[in-house]
Amino acid sequence: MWRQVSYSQFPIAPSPAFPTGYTAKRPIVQVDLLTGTDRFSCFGIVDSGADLCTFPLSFALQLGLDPLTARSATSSGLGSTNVPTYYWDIKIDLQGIITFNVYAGFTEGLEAWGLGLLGQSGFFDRFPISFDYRKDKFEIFIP
Amino acid sequence: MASTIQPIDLGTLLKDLPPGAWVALSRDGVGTRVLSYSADLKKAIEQAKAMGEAHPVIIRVPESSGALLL
Repeated sequence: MWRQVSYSQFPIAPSPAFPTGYTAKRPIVQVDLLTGTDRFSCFGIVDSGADLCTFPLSFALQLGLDPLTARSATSSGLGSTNVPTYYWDIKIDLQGIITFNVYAGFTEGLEAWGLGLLGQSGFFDRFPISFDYRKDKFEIFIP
Repeated sequence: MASTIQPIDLGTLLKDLPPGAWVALSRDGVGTRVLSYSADLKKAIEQAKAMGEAHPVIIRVPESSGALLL
């Protein structure tokens, strides 16, 4: 079934480039990260430009995961390159609709954002997704 | 046919909170509200738990109100 989600809207302050400011629409969903009996509730941006599903490192620490025992690699984003990222097999609960396994990364590179990226491997490879920016909606197909 | 996933108006919820603060939200869907916020993630969670929310939803107020480029 297709599940429709409204974009989250954020007011962007005026600047020399955008004198009246504007409203940014971001495709964000609430998710729970699960490891064993531990649960951490957060948000993720549905991001087709992200290779993997990745979250702030502090979320892993709240789940009791220890980076010293994790498999690691580097990752890069705007303004940061080769940031250590630690990977674990976790489950993601999408608002009680479906729970699925994900090999997810956790990195300090996302601390400033305080939310995760639901990327290609683990999310887009699992669910068809349709964006309709002009109607302020996006849809996720959940079998 | 599509059903709807509950939207949360994050822009409104976060707009008056200090940039960079960790925010703990209630899980009650419509009318989701800010339970606590702190510069320290652990404190924000503990305060929300003290208010009876076992699994608050966590987000951070953006440091900048500028564009987000992924």
